[in-house]
Amino acid sequence: MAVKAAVLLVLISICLLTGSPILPGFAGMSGGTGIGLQSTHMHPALITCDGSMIEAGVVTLYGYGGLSDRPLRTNSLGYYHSRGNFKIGGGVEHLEAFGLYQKSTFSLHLGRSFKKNSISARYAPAREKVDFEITRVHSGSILYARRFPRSVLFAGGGIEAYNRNTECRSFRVQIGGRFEDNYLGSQGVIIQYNESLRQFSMDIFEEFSLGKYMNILCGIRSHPSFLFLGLTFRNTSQAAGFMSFLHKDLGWSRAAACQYRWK
Amino acid sequence: MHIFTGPAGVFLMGSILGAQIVITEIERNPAGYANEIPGGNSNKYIEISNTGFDTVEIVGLSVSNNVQSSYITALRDSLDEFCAHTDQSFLAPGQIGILLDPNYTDEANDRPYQFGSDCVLFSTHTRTFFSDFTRSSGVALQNDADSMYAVVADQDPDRYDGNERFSFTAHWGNEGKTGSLHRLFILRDSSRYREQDRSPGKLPDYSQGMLREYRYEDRTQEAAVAVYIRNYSRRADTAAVWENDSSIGTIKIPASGEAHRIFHLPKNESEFTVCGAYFCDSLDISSIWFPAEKVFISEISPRGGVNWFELWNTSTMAIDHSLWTVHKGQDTVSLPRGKIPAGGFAVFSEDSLSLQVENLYITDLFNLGHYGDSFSVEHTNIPVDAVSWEHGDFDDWDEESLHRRSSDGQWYIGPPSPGGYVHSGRDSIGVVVRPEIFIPDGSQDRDSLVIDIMQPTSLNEGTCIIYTARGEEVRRFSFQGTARITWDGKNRFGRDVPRGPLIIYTQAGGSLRKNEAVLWR
Repeated sequence: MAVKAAVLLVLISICLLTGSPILPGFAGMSGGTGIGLQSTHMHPALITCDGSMIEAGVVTLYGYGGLSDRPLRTNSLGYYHSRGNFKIGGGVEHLEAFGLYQKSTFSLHLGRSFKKNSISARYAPAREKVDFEITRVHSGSILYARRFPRSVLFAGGGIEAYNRNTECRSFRVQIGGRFEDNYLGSQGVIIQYNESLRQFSMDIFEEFSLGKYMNILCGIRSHPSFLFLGLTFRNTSQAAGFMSFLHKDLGWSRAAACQYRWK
Repeated sequence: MHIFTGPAGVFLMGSILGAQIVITEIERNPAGYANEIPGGNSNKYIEISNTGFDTVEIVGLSVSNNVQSSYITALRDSLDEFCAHTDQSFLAPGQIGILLDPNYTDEANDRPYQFGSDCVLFSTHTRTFFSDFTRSSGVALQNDADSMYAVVADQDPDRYDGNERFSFTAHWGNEGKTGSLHRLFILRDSSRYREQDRSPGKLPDYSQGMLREYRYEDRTQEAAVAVYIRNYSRRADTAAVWENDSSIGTIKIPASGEAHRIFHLPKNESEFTVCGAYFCDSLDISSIWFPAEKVFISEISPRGGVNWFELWNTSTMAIDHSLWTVHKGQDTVSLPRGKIPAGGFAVFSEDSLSLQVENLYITDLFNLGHYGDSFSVEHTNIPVDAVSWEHGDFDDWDEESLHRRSSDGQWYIGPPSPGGYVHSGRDSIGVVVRPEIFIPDGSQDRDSLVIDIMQPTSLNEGTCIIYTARGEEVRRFSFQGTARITWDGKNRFGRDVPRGPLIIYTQAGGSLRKNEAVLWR
């Protein structure tokens, strides 16, 4: 018991310095497209639930409140369906920035499982708008995952901000793993390389169970430096939660999401 | 007949014929020294226009500057090279006349003006009349019975006592070295004059015998553009009115008659175009209208050594402030010509500032009271915004500015940030980021992101970091004291940063500031 408490204390200490990069709830889908959040977590290859799932979420960033006259927030709505080895999903996400800029992202996810192996792809065209112009931008990613009894390892990458007219393309590759329902709850680690910024970053997150329905999420990200803290509530068909994440310079952001799934 | 038309003190009275004659431009202070030209002051002039439909005999009238009067004579010297009429005693309907200094035609004078091709040149019988036509002089046209046809003066001449000179101090703009005073509107009742470039013998929006004017019309229920057209020719016309590419109506213009019609105001950057058979005017809608509450006084600096104030245009269209004035008590100051860009700022100062500021206009701004004052800004007769302050409302107010972020927002103390805004609080640094949307394509005025950092001391070192909305650092700068940082939209590896929101984080001397911008490509 003492060993378990000591390990928990270390992990909590780590988590207080970092944070979890996912929206609370199931290992669902739309959190992956949320601005400020990583994409791999919610790729269909990583989603294990069967049947259908719908999720709605909102993220307000860096203290720019959702009701202020200069918001920086993202609203999202997504759908996911899995039957047999086939996975499909999609969603829409709307980013409003400072009353100056809007971005609406539509995403389509497709995935396929082969025994323990899963692969999925996501294509996300987006419409960006400022007062005087509207344009479109595309992004896409693929992810391979291999599932083990209590863990999943994954690797993938994507291209972002693909636009014929500019040289703004950037690539990200990611590799990571998630270890579930073990002695200390669930853990995850992701290493990502951002080609444009020539920068590696690492996410470490931990989920503790507090009773039958409640969980605590926490984690850290190295670049940019984030600390994540969240609370989720879930049963077999519903989940909801909220999360705060602290950027070292820009301050606190808040996220909330709810999910519902059915067979 | 007696028509009194406004506080600037210009009125018409006399016969019907007299009421037709309008003084449309006066030049009292031409560049150059009087002793450079024989006779001196030879390039001053008075422009008059016959806005009626009857021919008016001009020769024989007298002109007065209230120090001396002189009969008007026809100019008999040939000035054919300027394509103007000479040796003509009358003004036909719609015709423009110029009263020139008799010395203007002296061979030693370089005769600098290019007159309108159809104007008529007159002169004064008294050769020294224009010597007394100085920067504060008014002017009046009179007939033999001393009734006045047209007057430009500070107030009704009846209110001057017998020994007092009537004068005109041009609250609406003093003549600069290249400008003269122009009547703001000719066909309607505005009697205000303001400084514009000299254009003797030429009226704006006047061609082929058609004189046009476009004015804001404040209807009870809605704002509108009033179109006035006076046709001095003998041909009728029909003008088509377009808003962008859509026809919104026509105006029938009778021969030797006038037309007047009101249209809904396109409250955005729509192009308002009026085209007849012989003219086509594209109207800059912001020259007559501004989006209410979207343009407001956002910062005042009555204590920083140099008085200045800032206007913030939060609308999506550029706003022309050429006809705007500032009023404080009995004082009126014209704002210089120019436009406030969409989403941008304009700063009006009595002197240059130590800070680098875009859209800075140096103007004859009156002193703002340290302990309390008020002033207002108007667009012709339309209130734009007003501000008043009292020292007691702001604790520990030292030399900072007063700021606000919206037309109905609360004023708060903050560091000076001309050309930008600061958040409320007592930050020791001011950071101004512009433009809000910048486009690093190398071809436009939004080509780079300019970050101006203002600090009270030059010793503080600081860091400015540009973050994407994901919180990723794309560029970092170091600075000391007051500084300007210019960013080209590339990260530290020279790669273009994708479109999207940016947060500019600045810290120095223990103060932190966050500013926002959008990168667009």
